[in-house]
Amino acid sequence: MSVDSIPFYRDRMESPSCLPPWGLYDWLEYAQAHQDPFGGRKLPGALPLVVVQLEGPSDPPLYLALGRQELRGWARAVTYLWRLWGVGPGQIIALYDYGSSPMVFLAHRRYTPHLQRGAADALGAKPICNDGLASMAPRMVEIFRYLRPQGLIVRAELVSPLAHACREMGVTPEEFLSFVVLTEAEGVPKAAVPWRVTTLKTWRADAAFFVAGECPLCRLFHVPPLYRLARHEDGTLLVSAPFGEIFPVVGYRLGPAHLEKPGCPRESSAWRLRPC
Amino acid sequence: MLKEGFWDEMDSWPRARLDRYWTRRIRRVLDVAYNSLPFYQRRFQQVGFSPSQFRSLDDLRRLPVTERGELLNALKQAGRYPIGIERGHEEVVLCVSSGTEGDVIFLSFPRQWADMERQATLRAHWWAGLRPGGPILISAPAWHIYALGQNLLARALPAQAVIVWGTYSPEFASHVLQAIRAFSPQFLGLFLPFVFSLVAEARRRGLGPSQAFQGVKNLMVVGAPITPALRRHLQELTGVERVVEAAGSSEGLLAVECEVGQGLHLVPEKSVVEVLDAATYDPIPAGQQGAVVITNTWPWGPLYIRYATGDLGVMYPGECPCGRPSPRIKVMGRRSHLLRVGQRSFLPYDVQQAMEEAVGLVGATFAVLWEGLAKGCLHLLVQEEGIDARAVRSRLKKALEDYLDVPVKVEWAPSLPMRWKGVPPVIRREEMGGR
Ligand SMILES: [Zn+2]
Repeated sequence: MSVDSIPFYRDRMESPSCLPPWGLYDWLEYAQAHQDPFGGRKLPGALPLVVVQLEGPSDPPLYLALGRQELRGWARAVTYLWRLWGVGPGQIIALYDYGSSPMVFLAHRRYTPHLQRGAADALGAKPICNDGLASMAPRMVEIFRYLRPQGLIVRAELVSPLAHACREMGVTPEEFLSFVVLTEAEGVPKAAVPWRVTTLKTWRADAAFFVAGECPLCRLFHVPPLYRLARHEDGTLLVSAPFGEIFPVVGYRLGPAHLEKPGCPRESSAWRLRPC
Repeated sequence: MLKEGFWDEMDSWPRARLDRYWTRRIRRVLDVAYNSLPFYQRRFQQVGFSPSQFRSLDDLRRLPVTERGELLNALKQAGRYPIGIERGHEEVVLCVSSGTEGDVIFLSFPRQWADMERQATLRAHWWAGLRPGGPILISAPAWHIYALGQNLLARALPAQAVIVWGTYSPEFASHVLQAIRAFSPQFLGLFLPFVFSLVAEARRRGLGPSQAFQGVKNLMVVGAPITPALRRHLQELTGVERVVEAAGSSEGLLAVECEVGQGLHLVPEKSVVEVLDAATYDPIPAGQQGAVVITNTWPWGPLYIRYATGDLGVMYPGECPCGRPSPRIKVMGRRSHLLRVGQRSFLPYDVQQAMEEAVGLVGATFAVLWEGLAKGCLHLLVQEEGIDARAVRSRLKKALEDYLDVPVKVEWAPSLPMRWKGVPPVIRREEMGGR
């Protein structure tokens, strides 16, 4: 589809062939100037199946509009990561984050209306989700105790209350977890876990439906083949999500990063990101 | 031709037909439990029960009542979930109950569970006034069982789903309020305390409370029973035409008010309900308060058979003027929230009703001080925010003492500590934060 029909892109075009890259603040500014919850990025007239309020302090908040293709594409990206992390049939994957995080709502079709296939459906895994409040850490420990999940995907800021609750309640995650993934809405989280468990991170840009995941083997961030990456003249890496149909993503500034050629034995065709 | 507000032809069945439907379905549930669920196999054996003995709903009495504590014990003993009450392994989603009482109950919902849940959720929401066309705000997405139901609902109607960042706890009221104003849903399903969080947030933003609910025509409140006065108060406060009470539990209780507003009709796809003597679990007459005991009527997922939900409730006698055959119940509160003062005991609902009837104080947020109960006194902590305390300040203590016939102390607090489901009914002094 042509971005000419999307107000946010159309208004930013410098010439018919030149679309300047954009970041979160450009979008926010446009949304505020036009009093549009979608900040001009939704195809006019299109009816989204799912609307997601973007995490962040913006007031009024920004919204992502998801049609069937957006849901499918973004969920396939999350599925790609789960596979990269080694999730397989029958495994229990614990999610400790708000249900509004794409790492959660794209995990299973039961979590999100109109989603045909979440990561767990695609891989035959069983998800269990705990609400993303720090005060819910004891409940997460009960989940650990009685379900002994193989994987944990956790909002980075919750690691510390969770670790504290584990100590208090006498549960040792090393006994059952084979990996932990730390995630947050924008970029790569800085937190670490106090357990001797393979710890991986996501690289997210929710505003652009973007998610890449750290590989347990090469430790770089594998980019799912659903995205297109390009290097801007100022050195920033730009991401586009061609699967977007009613809410296209073209030329989002991912920030400074090295792009590494494919070559990881875990997934030999993946382009990889290294934060800098 | 269906009557206005009816979901399908089943809503106009005669009661005898509904009873036959339930009998058939429960028989199937019992067969499954008897043949394949270890937890129930042991229990049935202990009382010498076999499903062939089940011929009518009255035969449920042959089965022992299971309490939450027994399931928690089974979990502790096994050290692992599942505990032998679950059926179905395909496309399983695991869930936790919201853990109102600190203990967590696990639930596993297989693919076959969704067929029933979809139908039940559609019926419940239809009764509550939801119609196709508008968006649905997903409450507490992913982890909460109500959100799983809402997803089936949005898929089936179909409706647009709006996912708000965060969760439905007071600190996120601002995000929810903005989403309501941006997408104008005609229907809202909310936990009762969260309605007040939205009202407070609207005031903080210099909006009238009704502006927070602009465009909403039906408001379904869950999580606490409402009095008639509170319903009127909510209607005036929010400007919403119809406020409907619903009650649900992760284990399969689901009941919703009809247009008549006298009791909550059971949603037949989910469970049958008995209200039994809270001490002996013997039958009691309709109209009398007792323990709520449910039996699921769908043989997939975790099966709760004669399970005491931990709620106290009342069955309504007779048939509802609306014509729906399904019995009506009102869930009055959690058994663990029963406040014992001397020889008497109350639920927070009784105190709420007393405040309304004694001094006309409606919609007050309050809790009971634990230290007061220990001394035989109903020591109320009443939140000042959002109510006109001047009008009742001097009279409340005396009026409540007369009404409830126990010693009462009233303490006004600027705010009370909030939990996910609102202010807990009993608070210790140390939880009051520096006071
Ligand atoms: Zn009725």
